[in-house]
Amino acid sequence: MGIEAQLSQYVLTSKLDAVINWGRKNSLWPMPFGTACCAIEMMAMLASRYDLARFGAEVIRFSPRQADLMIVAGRVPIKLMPVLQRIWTQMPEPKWCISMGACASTGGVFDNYAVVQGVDRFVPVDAYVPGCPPRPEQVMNAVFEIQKKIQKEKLAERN
Amino acid sequence: VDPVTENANPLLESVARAFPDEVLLRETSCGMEILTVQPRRLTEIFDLLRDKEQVDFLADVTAVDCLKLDRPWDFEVVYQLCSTPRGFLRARLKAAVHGRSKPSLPTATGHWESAGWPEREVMEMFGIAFEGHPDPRKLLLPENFESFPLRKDYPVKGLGEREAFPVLDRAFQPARKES
Repeated sequence: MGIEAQLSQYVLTSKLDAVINWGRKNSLWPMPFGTACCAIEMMAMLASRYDLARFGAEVIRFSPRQADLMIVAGRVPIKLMPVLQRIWTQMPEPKWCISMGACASTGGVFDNYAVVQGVDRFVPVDAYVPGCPPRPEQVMNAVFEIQKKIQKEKLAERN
Repeated sequence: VDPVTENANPLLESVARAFPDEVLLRETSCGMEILTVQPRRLTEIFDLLRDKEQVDFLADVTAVDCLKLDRPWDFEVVYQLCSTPRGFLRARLKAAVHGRSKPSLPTATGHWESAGWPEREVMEMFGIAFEGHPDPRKLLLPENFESFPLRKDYPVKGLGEREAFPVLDRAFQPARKES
């Protein structure tokens, strides 16, 4: 005798995890951290031809306090790394991070004193996108991977 | 030092005539005449170029580390000069700098204000101080950067500056499953 048996026309029962994760994954608000040519592909992904809005992530927030998905698109020099870390800490939990392109993931061809060799050394990264720069489809795939990851999260495991 | 030649660059010619004891080297590279001078009377040479020779534009200041070059000095500071009233007549003047520990030169900012930013860059990249510079902060590097990256004895991958950041993590960690 569940509640659905009594009120099957009006009530649908589910797990809280599933409902919250469903909401979160379909309303990602990206914070674009675009520093180089990858940012151009990121803009293409957001614009009408590829249109990330179809998957709920169209609200680009230039304030980290309103965002929950950071897209690091481009190389990060040593002078910018403190800025990136500050922006990351300003984003409210829960939050996710995409390292887009060769430079953000590994430093790329810029193996010199001034470029950080992968942002994942200093901030947590959920999805890496290979390419120099990656195609918009590849970045969208990273967003889908993060959506899958969000759907599997368990609220009880947080905190 | 080569003798004063015909058809020479009139700006450098004038410096070579007025300061014959200061001239260390006179050479031509890729069609551009270059005069290398001692640094001790550099301010007077700047006076001459600006006041007598109408050099009103300092296009760039940069430096060369002579560590792997066969030169008796350690650095060359390069001044790219231009005189707009004389048909954009250009000249390249170099000042030889001795010593790698604390080299210094007089600033050119008193003569051409455009020396400000390039001299700041030379200061942070080569560690050559410009005495009398009005704003000797770093231009491009972070404030706490201590090495001089464009010196030839500095490794390309740096001295660990790109590793010196705190490692951030999420405030909430998914619980690890006991295996």
